[in-house]
Amino acid sequence: MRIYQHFSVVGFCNTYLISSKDGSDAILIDPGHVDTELIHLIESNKFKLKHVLLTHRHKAHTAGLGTLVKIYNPTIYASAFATYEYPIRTISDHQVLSLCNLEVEVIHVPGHSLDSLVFKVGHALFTGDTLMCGRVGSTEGYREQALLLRSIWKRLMTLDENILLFPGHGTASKLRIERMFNHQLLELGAIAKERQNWREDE
Amino acid sequence: MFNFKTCAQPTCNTYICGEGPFCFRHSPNKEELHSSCVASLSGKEDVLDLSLTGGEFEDLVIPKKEFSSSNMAWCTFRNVDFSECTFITSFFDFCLFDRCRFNGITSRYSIFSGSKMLNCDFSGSSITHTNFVGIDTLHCNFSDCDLYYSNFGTSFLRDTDFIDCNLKKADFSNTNQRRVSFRYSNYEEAHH
Repeated sequence: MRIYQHFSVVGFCNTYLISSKDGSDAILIDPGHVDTELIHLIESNKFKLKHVLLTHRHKAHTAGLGTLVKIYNPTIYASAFATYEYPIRTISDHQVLSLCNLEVEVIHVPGHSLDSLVFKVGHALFTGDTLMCGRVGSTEGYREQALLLRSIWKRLMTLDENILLFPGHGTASKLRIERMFNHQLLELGAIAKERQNWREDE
Repeated sequence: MFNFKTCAQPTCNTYICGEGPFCFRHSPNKEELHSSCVASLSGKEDVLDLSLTGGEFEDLVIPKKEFSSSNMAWCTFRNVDFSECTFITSFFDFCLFDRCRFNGITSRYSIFSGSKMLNCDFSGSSITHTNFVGIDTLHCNFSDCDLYYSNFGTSFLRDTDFIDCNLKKADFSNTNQRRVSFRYSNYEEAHH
């Protein structure tokens, strides 16, 4: 499997281009902004862009969709919890997609937004805005934060700790690194646990 | 990417070293494996998809070349010169770097998390989008570096210089700092 990372200064979003080998069909995750550098990345490696996966609907992760549809007309996969101006194939939790000779496992991790999805491709996890290096995604309120933390601990932290983490913003990481050093996750995790205890006391 | 197979030794979750079924620690012929690893590190050819976990390397000069999509987690590097090398999506997490030189390197999307760095010099480098979360440094020098979007969160920094660096969007939150200098750097533009 080959993973190419592209960073756009518009929205500061990471876009990932994945394929099983050079010169084959490719998948793109979160087209935040399509610039000549990203087009060059696709063309210079002779990729045929077939599929686009969206982690969630926020503009920083989807603004480049229009350009991609015009140039490559890929199949777009996104959560059924959001609506888009382009035709999409809806995907849901636990679904396993077979795209470009790669198996893509869909994991629903709500909290940052209701439609937040994480994609597991082999030993790589594309987390969008749910879990990033050293922090967790922003949330609208403490209820959403509690939901996000619960989702992360239940669905992501139970996976193999050697798994590589490719977030929507910031640097790449590993699950072990986040388990050990993600200050927000550890600190808020303790608070969430404490909150649970208060409820039980009540 | 590098090989994701884990060591054939029961209960060992480390990725395999080279092509073999074992990690470096559990390899039956360590010396042969070590010399082949040294050859691939110190050779002139670029390193792509190399899996080299848990190895120990000393007194090496790595020629100017590119490391991409490689895994060198849990390795020990003593007196190794990586100057002028390029690292792209390469993993050096939980390593020990002692008296290593990284002058003039280019690092993008690489990971040094959880590593211990003693007397290491990164000065004059372009280190963007690089993960240094949870590192321990002692007598290290990051001066004159572009550290755009690099993350030093939760790290333990001692006697370390970040003089005249670009720290825009860099992250120093929850760090434990003593005798750390940010002179002439835009520390106010970093998260801290």
